[in-house]
Amino acid sequence: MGAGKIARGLVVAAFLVIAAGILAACDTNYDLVIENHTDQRIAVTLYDRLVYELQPCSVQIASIAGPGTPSGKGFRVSVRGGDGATLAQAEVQPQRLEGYTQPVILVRIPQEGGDACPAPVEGVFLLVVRNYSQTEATIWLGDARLGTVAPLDQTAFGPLPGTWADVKRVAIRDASNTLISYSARAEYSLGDIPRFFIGFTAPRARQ
Amino acid sequence: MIATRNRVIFRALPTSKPLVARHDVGVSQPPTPDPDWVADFRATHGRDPNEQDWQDYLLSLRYPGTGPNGEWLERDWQVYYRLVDLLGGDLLSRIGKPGGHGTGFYSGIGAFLALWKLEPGPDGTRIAYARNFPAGGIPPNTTGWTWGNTILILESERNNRPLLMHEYTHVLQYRYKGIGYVPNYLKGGVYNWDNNPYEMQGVEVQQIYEWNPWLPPIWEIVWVGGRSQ
Ligand SMILES: [Zn+2]
Repeated sequence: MGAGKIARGLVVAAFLVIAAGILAACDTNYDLVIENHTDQRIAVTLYDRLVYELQPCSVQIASIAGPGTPSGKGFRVSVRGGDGATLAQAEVQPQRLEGYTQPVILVRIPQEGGDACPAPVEGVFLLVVRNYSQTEATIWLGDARLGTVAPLDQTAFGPLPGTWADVKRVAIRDASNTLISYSARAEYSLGDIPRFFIGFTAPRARQ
Repeated sequence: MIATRNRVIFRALPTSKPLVARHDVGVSQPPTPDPDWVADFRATHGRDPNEQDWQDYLLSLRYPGTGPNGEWLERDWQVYYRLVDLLGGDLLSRIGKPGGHGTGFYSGIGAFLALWKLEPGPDGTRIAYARNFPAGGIPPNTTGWTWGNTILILESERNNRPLLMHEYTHVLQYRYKGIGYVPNYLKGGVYNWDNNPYEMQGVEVQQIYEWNPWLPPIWEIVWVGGRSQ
């Protein structure tokens, strides 16, 4: 076999591996938004294993990974009431919604016979930052310096104008100005100002 | 006692116990557990600690828990053990080891896709913070993509710690499975995330970190095996 044929074979093999790999370990992030408009506690399950428990009249927002290329398949979601009875099971298709940077898996559980809860507050939020590290950190929202959070402490900033999409604009820096990565999720009652929680850690300081 | 791969660096930490050991990759010389800690452990658990218990304790000295002074509470240990059980010894034993030729082959493809614009990541990984095709090396609608020890993450997700833990879980899976990883993954079902074992692990790790931002990163776990509660 000539060198040209071998080279061509290798290129074809490489493309086949890449084509297969495009589908493997390839993740898309979605915003999971669960609104419980009922007067009972509920539990929402995705992938038969991720469980989100919600108080009556409350909202939770989280990020969740899913298939990276369009499969046309929705997310199988099941909803249980406080008594454990299944209220609903559905395939939820992600959708683009204003106020979110990622496709949204919207799970809204209505109350039969009319909404039991106050209307959601929109366009404003509280940023609750929990510092699990033992050094002070500075919190930025885009170009705006919000302030500092003491070691092992929590500070609420705001109310600030904006939506869940603004959480992506948060930057946390330690004393040496190094960026610290963080976790974010939201949990609040309908009718209250949305509370977006951010938490981060770092190794204990040497003495 | 189980031999470890680690070199021991002694240093002082801000705790009541002044001298502890931090493991680093290198020579094998397990540290001696602190006698006070051994006595405390026996009193709490009603059994002798093993080497893994000691390593877990040292980890709790390196990262604060959720207690008022940064101590690890009982519920913190429960969360930590949930993470450990989810990853299992097959993956945890791959921490600190780059993987074989199969992993290296996939890492190379990842580096090629990232056009070699890689930053050093944790535990021998290399990370490209890139944009979607065609401007960058990540497929459309995709946020994270792992190839062996190479992780491609969307530039806008640079601060997303749970996502990095998800992708690092894939790194450990590659190191465990080697060249067989991609075929095995495809067999698990590309769009069938309800049943694909690799993604079931990934999404659960991601959720654990979303809810527990205090948890030390996975690569800080020193695994010698033999966890028992
Ligand atoms: Zn994944």
